[in-house]
Amino acid sequence: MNLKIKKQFPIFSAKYKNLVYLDSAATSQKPQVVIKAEADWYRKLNANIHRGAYALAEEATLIYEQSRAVVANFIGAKSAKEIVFTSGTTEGINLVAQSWVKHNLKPGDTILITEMEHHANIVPWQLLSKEFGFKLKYWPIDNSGKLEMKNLSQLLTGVKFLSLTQVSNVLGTVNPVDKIIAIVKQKKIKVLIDAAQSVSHLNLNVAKMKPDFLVFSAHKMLGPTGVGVLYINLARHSEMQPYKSGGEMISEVSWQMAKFKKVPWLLEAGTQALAQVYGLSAAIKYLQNIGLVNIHKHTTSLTKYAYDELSKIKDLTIYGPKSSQRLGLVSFSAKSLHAHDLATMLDRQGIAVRAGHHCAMPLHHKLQVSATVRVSVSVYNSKIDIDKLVLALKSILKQWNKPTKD
Amino acid sequence: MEQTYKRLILRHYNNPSNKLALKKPTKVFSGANPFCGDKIEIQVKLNSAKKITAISWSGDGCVISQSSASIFTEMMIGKTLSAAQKITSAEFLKKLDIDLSPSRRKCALLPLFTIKEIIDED
Repeated sequence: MNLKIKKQFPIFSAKYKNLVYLDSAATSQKPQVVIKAEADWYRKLNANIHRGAYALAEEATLIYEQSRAVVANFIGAKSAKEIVFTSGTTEGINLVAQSWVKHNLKPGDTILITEMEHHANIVPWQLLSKEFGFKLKYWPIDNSGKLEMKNLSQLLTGVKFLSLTQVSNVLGTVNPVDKIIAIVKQKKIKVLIDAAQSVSHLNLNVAKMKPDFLVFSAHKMLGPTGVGVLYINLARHSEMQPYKSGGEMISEVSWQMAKFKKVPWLLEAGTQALAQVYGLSAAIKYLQNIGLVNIHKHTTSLTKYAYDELSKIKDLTIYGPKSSQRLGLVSFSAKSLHAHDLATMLDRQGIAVRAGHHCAMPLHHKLQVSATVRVSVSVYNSKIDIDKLVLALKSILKQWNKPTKD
Repeated sequence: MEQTYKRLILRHYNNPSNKLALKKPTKVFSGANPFCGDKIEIQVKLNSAKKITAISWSGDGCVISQSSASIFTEMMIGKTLSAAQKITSAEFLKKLDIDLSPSRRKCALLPLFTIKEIIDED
Protein backbone atom coordinates (compact mmCIF):
# COMPACT_ATOMS: atom_id res chain seq x y z
CA MET A 1 0.00 0.00 0.00
CA ASN A 2 2.68 2.47 1.03
CA LEU A 3 4.91 2.88 -2.02
CA LYS A 4 1.95 3.90 -4.15
CA ILE A 5 0.82 6.16 -1.33
CA LYS A 6 4.24 7.75 -0.92
CA LYS A 7 4.02 8.95 -4.54
CA GLN A 8 0.97 11.01 -3.56
CA PHE A 9 3.10 13.16 -1.24
CA PRO A 10 4.95 15.76 -3.34
CA ILE A 11 7.61 16.39 -0.68
CA PHE A 12 9.06 12.97 -1.47
CA SER A 13 9.60 13.83 -5.11
CA ALA A 14 11.36 17.20 -4.77
CA LYS A 15 14.54 18.22 -2.94
CA TYR A 16 13.97 15.69 -0.17
CA LYS A 17 13.05 12.76 -2.38
CA ASN A 18 15.36 10.34 -0.60
CA LEU A 19 14.38 11.49 2.86
CA VAL A 20 13.45 8.84 5.39
CA TYR A 21 10.83 10.81 7.29
CA LEU A 22 10.21 9.37 10.73
CA ASP A 23 8.81 12.42 12.53
CA SER A 24 5.10 12.29 11.71
CA ALA A 25 4.18 12.57 15.40
CA ALA A 26 5.54 16.14 15.21
CA THR A 27 3.80 16.86 11.93
CA SER A 28 2.78 14.68 9.04
CA GLN A 29 3.55 15.33 5.38
CA LYS A 30 0.70 16.38 3.09
CA PRO A 31 -0.75 14.51 0.11
CA GLN A 32 -1.30 16.31 -3.19
CA VAL A 33 -5.09 16.37 -2.66
CA VAL A 34 -4.70 18.44 0.52
CA ILE A 35 -2.26 20.87 -1.08
CA LYS A 36 -4.61 21.17 -4.05
CA ALA A 37 -7.67 21.75 -1.85
CA GLU A 38 -6.01 24.66 -0.06
CA ALA A 39 -5.01 26.22 -3.36
CA ASP A 40 -8.47 25.53 -4.79
CA TRP A 41 -10.08 27.46 -1.98
CA TYR A 42 -8.17 30.56 -3.06
CA ARG A 43 -8.59 29.84 -6.77
CA LYS A 44 -12.28 29.01 -6.82
CA LEU A 45 -14.05 29.57 -3.52
CA ASN A 46 -12.54 32.44 -1.58
CA ALA A 47 -14.98 34.80 0.11
CA ASN A 48 -15.65 35.47 3.75
CA ILE A 49 -18.25 33.18 5.22
CA HIS A 50 -21.51 33.92 7.03
CA ARG A 51 -21.84 37.29 5.31
CA GLY A 52 -22.11 38.68 1.84
CA ALA A 53 -25.34 38.22 -0.04
CA TYR A 54 -23.72 36.99 -3.20
CA ALA A 55 -23.32 33.59 -4.72
CA LEU A 56 -19.58 33.21 -4.03
CA ALA A 57 -19.94 33.99 -0.30
CA GLU A 58 -22.95 31.69 -0.07
CA GLU A 59 -20.97 28.89 -1.66
CA ALA A 60 -17.96 29.53 0.61
CA THR A 61 -20.23 29.39 3.66
CA LEU A 62 -21.87 26.20 2.47
CA ILE A 63 -18.53 24.48 1.87
CA TYR A 64 -17.16 25.61 5.25
CA GLU A 65 -20.22 24.24 7.03
CA GLN A 66 -20.02 21.05 4.97
CA SER A 67 -16.47 20.61 6.24
CA ARG A 68 -17.87 20.73 9.75
CA ALA A 69 -20.16 17.86 8.83
CA VAL A 70 -17.24 15.95 7.28
CA VAL A 71 -15.35 16.24 10.59
CA ALA A 72 -18.42 15.23 12.61
CA ASN A 73 -18.88 12.15 10.48
CA PHE A 74 -15.15 11.34 10.72
CA ILE A 75 -15.15 11.18 14.53
CA GLY A 76 -18.65 9.78 14.91
CA ALA A 77 -20.22 12.92 16.40
CA LYS A 78 -24.01 13.04 16.57
CA SER A 79 -24.23 16.57 15.25
CA ALA A 80 -22.05 18.93 13.22
CA LYS A 81 -22.78 21.50 15.92
CA GLU A 82 -20.47 19.57 18.20
CA ILE A 83 -17.50 20.55 16.01
CA VAL A 84 -15.63 23.80 16.69
CA PHE A 85 -12.71 24.78 14.46
CA THR A 86 -9.65 25.98 16.37
CA SER A 87 -6.06 26.71 15.42
CA GLY A 88 -4.97 23.32 16.78
CA THR A 89 -4.81 21.03 19.80
CA THR A 90 -3.13 23.65 21.99
CA GLU A 91 -5.85 26.21 21.35
CA GLY A 92 -8.54 23.57 21.87
CA ILE A 93 -7.22 22.81 25.36
CA ASN A 94 -6.82 26.50 26.23
CA LEU A 95 -10.35 27.12 25.00
CA VAL A 96 -11.81 24.45 27.27
CA ALA A 97 -9.79 25.87 30.19
CA GLN A 98 -11.09 29.40 29.61
CA SER A 99 -14.62 28.75 28.38
CA TRP A 100 -15.69 25.87 30.56
CA VAL A 101 -13.33 24.79 33.37
CA LYS A 102 -12.78 28.18 34.98
CA HIS A 103 -16.55 28.84 35.05
CA ASN A 104 -17.59 25.43 36.36
CA LEU A 105 -15.02 24.57 39.01
CA LYS A 106 -14.79 26.16 42.45
CA PRO A 107 -11.59 27.09 44.31
CA GLY A 108 -10.22 23.92 45.92
CA ASP A 109 -11.65 21.63 43.21
CA THR A 110 -9.14 19.30 41.60
CA ILE A 111 -8.05 19.07 37.98
CA LEU A 112 -6.49 15.70 37.18
CA ILE A 113 -4.02 15.17 34.36
CA THR A 114 -1.58 12.31 33.75
CA GLU A 115 2.19 12.09 34.02
CA MET A 116 2.42 11.40 30.30
CA GLU A 117 0.87 14.64 29.02
CA HIS A 118 2.38 16.98 26.46
CA HIS A 119 3.19 20.49 27.77
CA ALA A 120 0.04 21.69 25.97
CA ASN A 121 -1.99 19.60 28.38
CA ILE A 122 0.00 20.63 31.47
CA VAL A 123 0.75 24.34 31.35
CA PRO A 124 -2.81 25.65 30.69
CA TRP A 125 -3.94 23.79 33.83
CA GLN A 126 -1.02 25.09 35.89
CA LEU A 127 -1.86 28.67 34.95
CA LEU A 128 -5.59 28.20 35.47
CA SER A 129 -5.08 26.52 38.87
CA LYS A 130 -2.79 29.32 40.00
CA GLU A 131 -5.27 31.98 38.93
CA PHE A 132 -8.44 30.36 40.29
CA GLY A 133 -7.19 28.28 43.23
CA PHE A 134 -7.80 24.84 41.71
CA LYS A 135 -5.65 21.88 42.74
CA LEU A 136 -3.63 20.17 40.01
CA LYS A 137 -3.02 16.48 40.50
CA TYR A 138 -1.16 13.92 38.39
CA TRP A 139 -2.29 10.42 37.50
CA PRO A 140 0.90 8.34 37.90
CA ILE A 141 2.29 5.94 35.31
CA ASP A 142 3.85 2.57 36.14
CA ASN A 143 7.28 1.29 35.13
CA SER A 144 6.03 0.10 31.76
CA GLY A 145 4.71 3.56 30.89
CA LYS A 146 1.04 2.75 31.37
CA LEU A 147 -1.43 4.56 33.64
CA GLU A 148 -1.54 3.12 37.14
CA MET A 149 -5.05 1.62 37.35
CA LYS A 150 -4.92 0.71 41.04
CA ASN A 151 -6.40 2.87 43.85
CA LEU A 152 -8.58 4.77 41.42
CA SER A 153 -11.17 5.81 43.97
CA GLN A 154 -8.47 7.51 46.05
CA LEU A 155 -6.99 9.11 42.94
CA LEU A 156 -10.36 10.48 41.83
CA THR A 157 -11.36 11.97 45.17
CA GLY A 158 -12.10 15.68 44.82
CA VAL A 159 -11.54 15.58 41.07
CA LYS A 160 -13.98 17.61 38.98
CA PHE A 161 -12.17 17.60 35.67
CA LEU A 162 -9.87 15.12 33.94
CA SER A 163 -7.73 15.90 30.90
CA LEU A 164 -5.74 13.09 29.34
CA THR A 165 -4.11 12.01 26.15
CA GLN A 166 -5.37 9.02 24.21
CA VAL A 167 -1.89 8.15 22.95
CA SER A 168 1.33 9.39 24.59
CA ASN A 169 3.56 11.40 22.24
CA VAL A 170 6.66 10.08 24.03
CA LEU A 171 5.84 6.54 25.09
CA GLY A 172 3.32 5.62 22.41
CA THR A 173 1.11 4.20 25.17
CA VAL A 174 -2.54 3.78 24.15
CA ASN A 175 -4.67 4.73 27.14
CA PRO A 176 -7.95 2.83 27.68
CA VAL A 177 -9.98 6.04 27.35
CA ASP A 178 -13.38 4.36 26.86
CA LYS A 179 -12.96 2.49 30.13
CA ILE A 180 -11.59 5.54 31.96
CA ILE A 181 -14.44 7.76 30.78
CA ALA A 182 -17.00 5.17 31.91
CA ILE A 183 -15.39 5.10 35.38
CA VAL A 184 -15.07 8.86 35.89
CA LYS A 185 -18.57 9.57 34.53
CA GLN A 186 -19.98 7.72 37.53
CA LYS A 187 -18.25 10.31 39.70
CA LYS A 188 -19.59 13.18 37.58
CA ILE A 189 -16.09 14.12 36.47
CA LYS A 190 -15.96 15.90 33.11
CA VAL A 191 -13.34 14.71 30.62
CA LEU A 192 -11.19 16.17 27.86
CA ILE A 193 -9.40 13.76 25.52
CA ASP A 194 -6.28 14.90 23.67
CA ALA A 195 -6.49 12.93 20.43
CA ALA A 196 -3.60 14.71 18.67
CA GLN A 197 -1.51 11.54 18.41
CA SER A 198 -4.33 9.06 17.89
CA VAL A 199 -6.60 10.73 15.34
CA SER A 200 -4.66 9.70 12.23
CA HIS A 201 -4.13 6.12 13.42
CA LEU A 202 -7.49 4.84 14.59
CA ASN A 203 -11.19 5.13 14.11
CA LEU A 204 -12.50 7.64 16.65
CA ASN A 205 -16.07 7.35 17.75
CA VAL A 206 -17.04 10.08 20.19
CA ALA A 207 -20.65 8.91 20.39
CA LYS A 208 -19.34 5.65 21.81
CA MET A 209 -16.43 7.08 23.79
CA LYS A 210 -18.58 9.86 25.29
CA PRO A 211 -15.97 12.45 26.25
CA ASP A 212 -17.16 15.94 27.14
CA PHE A 213 -14.42 17.45 25.02
CA LEU A 214 -11.96 16.05 22.50
CA VAL A 215 -9.23 17.93 20.64
CA PHE A 216 -6.86 17.32 17.75
CA SER A 217 -4.82 19.14 15.10
CA ALA A 218 -5.16 18.84 11.33
CA HIS A 219 -1.44 18.95 10.68
CA LYS A 220 -0.73 15.63 12.38
CA MET A 221 -3.33 13.87 10.19
CA LEU A 222 -2.06 14.85 6.73
CA GLY A 223 -3.96 18.16 6.85
CA PRO A 224 -2.82 21.80 6.89
CA THR A 225 -1.14 23.62 9.76
CA GLY A 226 -3.07 26.34 11.58
CA VAL A 227 -6.34 24.47 12.01
CA GLY A 228 -7.65 21.97 14.51
CA VAL A 229 -10.83 20.62 15.96
CA LEU A 230 -12.54 20.82 19.33
CA TYR A 231 -15.42 18.42 19.80
CA ILE A 232 -17.89 19.55 22.46
CA ASN A 233 -20.53 17.12 23.62
CA LEU A 234 -24.03 18.61 23.20
CA ALA A 235 -24.53 18.16 26.95
CA ARG A 236 -21.93 20.87 27.61
CA HIS A 237 -23.15 23.41 25.05
CA SER A 238 -25.31 25.53 27.33
CA GLU A 239 -22.41 25.87 29.81
CA MET A 240 -19.89 27.26 27.33
CA GLN A 241 -18.83 30.88 27.78
CA PRO A 242 -17.23 33.05 25.08
CA TYR A 243 -13.52 32.50 24.40
CA LYS A 244 -12.17 35.04 21.94
CA SER A 245 -14.70 37.74 21.32
CA GLY A 246 -15.42 39.86 18.29
CA GLY A 247 -17.09 39.45 14.96
CA GLU A 248 -19.03 36.37 13.89
CA MET A 249 -19.65 35.05 17.41
CA ILE A 250 -22.41 37.54 18.16
CA SER A 251 -26.04 37.70 17.20
CA GLU A 252 -26.57 41.32 18.22
CA VAL A 253 -24.34 44.10 19.55
CA SER A 254 -25.33 47.41 21.12
CA TRP A 255 -23.10 50.10 22.67
CA GLN A 256 -22.97 48.43 26.07
CA MET A 257 -23.75 44.76 25.51
CA ALA A 258 -23.83 41.86 23.11
CA LYS A 259 -25.90 38.77 22.55
CA PHE A 260 -24.05 35.70 21.48
CA LYS A 261 -24.51 32.96 18.95
CA LYS A 262 -24.72 29.35 20.02
CA VAL A 263 -21.92 26.78 19.96
CA PRO A 264 -20.05 26.19 17.66
CA TRP A 265 -20.24 29.73 16.23
CA LEU A 266 -19.97 31.26 19.73
CA LEU A 267 -16.40 29.94 19.84
CA GLU A 268 -15.33 30.93 16.33
CA ALA A 269 -14.71 34.67 16.59
CA GLY A 270 -13.15 36.48 13.65
CA THR A 271 -12.42 35.12 10.22
CA GLN A 272 -11.51 31.46 10.44
CA ALA A 273 -8.73 29.57 8.62
CA LEU A 274 -11.08 28.97 5.68
CA ALA A 275 -8.65 27.45 3.19
CA GLN A 276 -7.18 25.26 5.90
CA VAL A 277 -10.59 23.99 7.00
CA TYR A 278 -11.21 23.04 3.38
CA GLY A 279 -7.78 21.34 3.33
CA LEU A 280 -8.66 19.46 6.51
CA SER A 281 -11.81 18.12 4.95
CA ALA A 282 -9.74 16.94 1.96
CA ALA A 283 -7.32 15.21 4.38
CA ILE A 284 -10.20 13.43 6.09
CA LYS A 285 -11.58 12.22 2.77
CA TYR A 286 -8.09 11.01 1.84
CA LEU A 287 -7.75 9.08 5.12
CA GLN A 288 -11.24 7.62 4.71
CA ASN A 289 -10.39 6.57 1.17
CA ILE A 290 -7.46 4.51 2.39
CA GLY A 291 -9.58 3.41 5.33
CA LEU A 292 -8.77 3.99 8.99
CA VAL A 293 -8.81 0.23 9.60
CA ASN A 294 -6.13 -0.27 6.94
CA ILE A 295 -4.11 2.65 8.29
CA HIS A 296 -4.30 1.27 11.80
CA LYS A 297 -3.14 -2.13 10.59
CA HIS A 298 -0.28 -0.57 8.66
CA THR A 299 1.05 1.78 11.34
CA THR A 300 0.64 -0.76 14.14
CA SER A 301 2.57 -3.40 12.26
CA LEU A 302 5.24 -0.86 11.32
CA THR A 303 5.52 0.31 14.94
CA LYS A 304 5.88 -3.28 16.06
CA TYR A 305 8.53 -3.90 13.43
CA ALA A 306 10.46 -0.80 14.52
CA TYR A 307 10.15 -1.80 18.18
CA ASP A 308 11.36 -5.34 17.50
CA GLU A 309 14.27 -4.26 15.32
CA LEU A 310 15.39 -1.49 17.70
CA SER A 311 15.17 -3.92 20.63
CA LYS A 312 17.86 -6.00 18.96
CA ILE A 313 20.37 -3.15 19.19
CA LYS A 314 22.21 -3.73 22.46
CA ASP A 315 23.19 -0.16 23.19
CA LEU A 316 19.59 1.18 23.13
CA THR A 317 17.02 1.63 25.87
CA ILE A 318 13.41 1.77 24.65
CA TYR A 319 10.84 3.65 26.74
CA GLY A 320 7.21 2.76 27.20
CA PRO A 321 5.06 -0.35 26.89
CA LYS A 322 5.61 -3.41 24.72
CA SER A 323 4.81 -3.15 21.05
CA SER A 324 1.26 -4.52 21.27
CA GLN A 325 0.19 -1.70 23.61
CA ARG A 326 1.55 1.24 21.67
CA LEU A 327 0.66 3.19 18.58
CA GLY A 328 2.69 4.97 15.95
CA LEU A 329 5.97 5.64 17.70
CA VAL A 330 9.00 4.35 19.55
CA SER A 331 11.30 6.47 21.75
CA PHE A 332 14.74 5.36 22.83
CA SER A 333 18.12 6.51 24.06
CA ALA A 334 21.62 5.15 23.54
CA LYS A 335 23.99 4.47 26.40
CA SER A 336 27.00 6.02 24.80
CA LEU A 337 25.57 8.87 22.79
CA HIS A 338 23.21 11.77 23.57
CA ALA A 339 19.91 11.83 21.64
CA HIS A 340 20.80 15.06 19.85
CA ASP A 341 24.10 13.75 18.60
CA LEU A 342 22.36 10.61 17.40
CA ALA A 343 19.72 12.68 15.58
CA THR A 344 22.37 14.86 13.95
CA MET A 345 24.26 11.79 12.75
CA LEU A 346 21.07 10.18 11.44
CA ASP A 347 20.21 13.42 9.67
CA ARG A 348 23.56 13.29 7.85
CA GLN A 349 22.36 9.95 6.47
CA GLY A 350 19.04 11.39 5.34
CA ILE A 351 16.95 10.11 8.25
CA ALA A 352 14.67 12.58 10.04
CA VAL A 353 13.86 11.73 13.66
CA ARG A 354 12.92 13.86 16.63
CA ALA A 355 15.35 14.29 19.51
CA GLY A 356 14.70 16.03 22.79
CA HIS A 357 12.04 15.97 25.45
CA HIS A 358 9.17 16.12 22.90
CA CYS A 359 7.41 18.82 24.94
CA ALA A 360 7.18 16.49 27.93
CA MET A 361 9.92 17.59 30.33
CA PRO A 362 8.33 16.28 33.56
CA LEU A 363 7.92 12.83 31.98
CA HIS A 364 11.56 12.75 30.88
CA HIS A 365 12.51 13.72 34.41
CA LYS A 366 10.53 10.73 35.69
CA LEU A 367 12.17 8.45 33.11
CA GLN A 368 15.51 9.85 34.31
CA VAL A 369 16.70 10.66 30.82
CA SER A 370 17.36 14.19 29.57
CA ALA A 371 16.43 13.52 25.99
CA THR A 372 15.25 10.66 23.81
CA VAL A 373 15.15 9.93 20.10
CA ARG A 374 11.63 9.42 18.79
CA VAL A 375 10.76 7.51 15.65
CA SER A 376 7.18 7.89 14.44
CA VAL A 377 5.40 6.54 11.39
CA SER A 378 2.53 7.35 9.07
CA VAL A 379 0.84 6.02 5.93
CA TYR A 380 3.77 6.83 3.66
CA ASN A 381 6.36 4.90 5.70
CA SER A 382 7.37 1.33 5.01
CA LYS A 383 9.65 -1.33 6.44
CA ILE A 384 12.33 -0.02 4.11
CA ASP A 385 12.45 3.18 6.19
CA ILE A 386 12.85 1.22 9.41
CA ASP A 387 15.55 -0.97 7.85
CA LYS A 388 17.47 2.13 6.79
CA LEU A 389 17.15 3.58 10.29
CA VAL A 390 18.36 0.40 11.96
CA LEU A 391 21.27 0.03 9.57
CA ALA A 392 22.32 3.65 10.12
CA LEU A 393 22.00 3.35 13.90
CA LYS A 394 24.13 0.25 13.97
CA SER A 395 26.86 1.83 11.91
CA ILE A 396 26.83 5.07 13.93
CA LEU A 397 27.03 3.25 17.25
CA LYS A 398 29.68 0.87 15.98
CA GLN A 399 31.87 3.71 14.83
CA TRP A 400 31.20 5.77 17.95
CA ASN A 401 32.01 2.95 20.32
CA LYS A 402 35.33 2.17 18.64
CA PRO A 403 37.89 2.32 21.45
CA THR A 404 40.52 4.67 19.99
CA LYS A 405 39.33 8.25 20.18
CA ASP A 406 42.45 10.10 21.26
CA MET B 1 33.42 10.62 11.94
CA GLU B 2 32.19 13.73 10.13
CA GLN B 3 32.49 17.53 10.19
CA THR B 4 30.46 18.06 13.38
CA TYR B 5 32.25 15.44 15.38
CA LYS B 6 35.82 16.12 14.43
CA ARG B 7 38.92 15.34 16.44
CA LEU B 8 39.15 18.48 18.55
CA ILE B 9 35.53 18.24 19.64
CA LEU B 10 35.83 14.58 20.50
CA ARG B 11 39.03 15.19 22.44
CA HIS B 12 37.24 17.73 24.63
CA TYR B 13 34.19 15.49 24.98
CA ASN B 14 36.20 12.48 26.09
CA ASN B 15 38.63 14.41 28.22
CA PRO B 16 36.97 17.67 29.24
CA SER B 17 38.93 20.56 30.72
CA ASN B 18 37.84 22.26 33.94
CA LYS B 19 35.16 19.72 34.76
CA LEU B 20 35.67 19.72 38.51
CA ALA B 21 34.24 21.62 41.47
CA LEU B 22 35.91 24.78 42.77
CA LYS B 23 36.28 25.01 46.53
CA LYS B 24 35.08 28.57 47.09
CA PRO B 25 33.72 30.01 43.85
CA THR B 26 33.07 33.75 43.74
CA LYS B 27 30.09 33.29 41.46
CA VAL B 28 28.01 30.41 40.14
CA PHE B 29 25.99 30.48 36.92
CA SER B 30 23.38 27.92 35.92
CA GLY B 31 21.91 27.53 32.49
CA ALA B 32 19.60 25.19 30.65
CA ASN B 33 18.75 24.57 27.04
CA PRO B 34 14.96 24.49 26.79
CA PHE B 35 15.23 22.71 23.45
CA CYS B 36 16.69 19.52 24.93
CA GLY B 37 16.70 19.97 28.69
CA ASP B 38 20.49 19.93 29.01
CA LYS B 39 21.74 21.74 32.09
CA ILE B 40 25.09 23.24 32.92
CA GLU B 41 26.65 25.02 35.89
CA ILE B 42 29.72 27.25 35.64
CA GLN B 43 31.69 28.35 38.71
CA VAL B 44 34.25 31.16 38.59
CA LYS B 45 36.79 32.50 41.00
CA LEU B 46 37.53 36.21 40.51
CA ASN B 47 40.46 38.21 41.82
CA SER B 48 40.22 41.81 43.07
CA ALA B 49 40.48 43.08 39.49
CA LYS B 50 37.42 40.91 38.59
CA LYS B 51 39.59 38.69 36.44
CA ILE B 52 38.74 35.00 36.21
CA THR B 53 41.54 33.13 37.96
CA ALA B 54 39.83 29.77 38.09
CA ILE B 55 36.81 28.29 36.37
CA SER B 56 34.97 25.01 36.48
CA TRP B 57 31.81 23.53 35.05
CA SER B 58 29.49 20.59 35.53
CA GLY B 59 26.58 19.14 33.59
CA ASP B 60 25.37 16.34 31.38
CA GLY B 61 24.52 16.71 27.78
CA CYS B 62 25.31 16.03 24.17
CA VAL B 63 28.77 15.92 22.63
CA ILE B 64 28.40 19.47 21.32
CA SER B 65 27.39 21.12 24.60
CA GLN B 66 29.97 19.20 26.65
CA SER B 67 32.92 19.85 24.38
CA SER B 68 31.80 23.43 23.96
CA ALA B 69 31.81 23.94 27.74
CA SER B 70 35.30 22.50 27.91
CA ILE B 71 36.62 24.78 25.16
CA PHE B 72 34.71 27.79 26.48
CA THR B 73 36.06 27.50 30.02
CA GLU B 74 39.62 27.16 28.66
CA MET B 75 39.12 30.48 26.88
CA MET B 76 37.95 32.26 30.00
CA ILE B 77 41.03 32.11 32.21
CA GLY B 78 42.59 35.56 32.58
CA LYS B 79 39.60 37.40 31.12
CA THR B 80 37.55 39.77 33.25
CA LEU B 81 34.02 38.56 33.85
CA SER B 82 32.56 41.52 31.99
CA ALA B 83 34.84 40.86 28.99
CA ALA B 84 33.72 37.22 29.04
CA GLN B 85 30.11 38.30 29.07
CA LYS B 86 30.69 40.54 26.06
CA ILE B 87 31.75 37.70 23.77
CA THR B 88 29.23 37.41 20.98
CA SER B 89 27.70 34.18 19.74
CA ALA B 90 29.37 34.67 16.37
CA GLU B 91 32.81 35.12 17.92
CA PHE B 92 32.48 31.99 20.00
CA LEU B 93 31.09 29.86 17.16
CA LYS B 94 33.99 30.97 14.98
CA LYS B 95 36.37 29.78 17.66
CA LEU B 96 34.63 26.39 17.82
CA ASP B 97 34.71 26.13 14.04
CA ILE B 98 32.24 23.31 13.61
CA ASP B 99 29.43 22.80 11.19
CA LEU B 100 26.19 23.25 13.14
CA SER B 101 22.52 23.45 12.18
CA PRO B 102 20.55 26.30 13.81
CA SER B 103 19.05 23.99 16.44
CA ARG B 104 22.40 22.47 17.35
CA ARG B 105 23.95 25.95 17.59
CA LYS B 106 22.02 26.30 20.86
CA CYS B 107 23.89 23.27 22.25
CA ALA B 108 27.23 24.93 21.45
CA LEU B 109 26.17 28.30 22.85
CA LEU B 110 24.85 26.98 26.16
CA PRO B 111 28.05 27.77 28.17
CA LEU B 112 28.22 31.29 26.69
CA PHE B 113 24.53 31.94 27.37
CA THR B 114 25.00 30.61 30.89
CA ILE B 115 27.76 33.03 31.78
CA LYS B 116 25.84 35.86 30.10
CA GLU B 117 22.76 34.85 32.11
CA ILE B 118 20.55 34.83 29.05
CA ILE B 119 18.46 31.98 27.68
CA ASP B 120 18.60 32.87 24.03
CA GLU B 121 20.31 35.05 21.43
CA ASP B 122 20.72 38.66 22.62
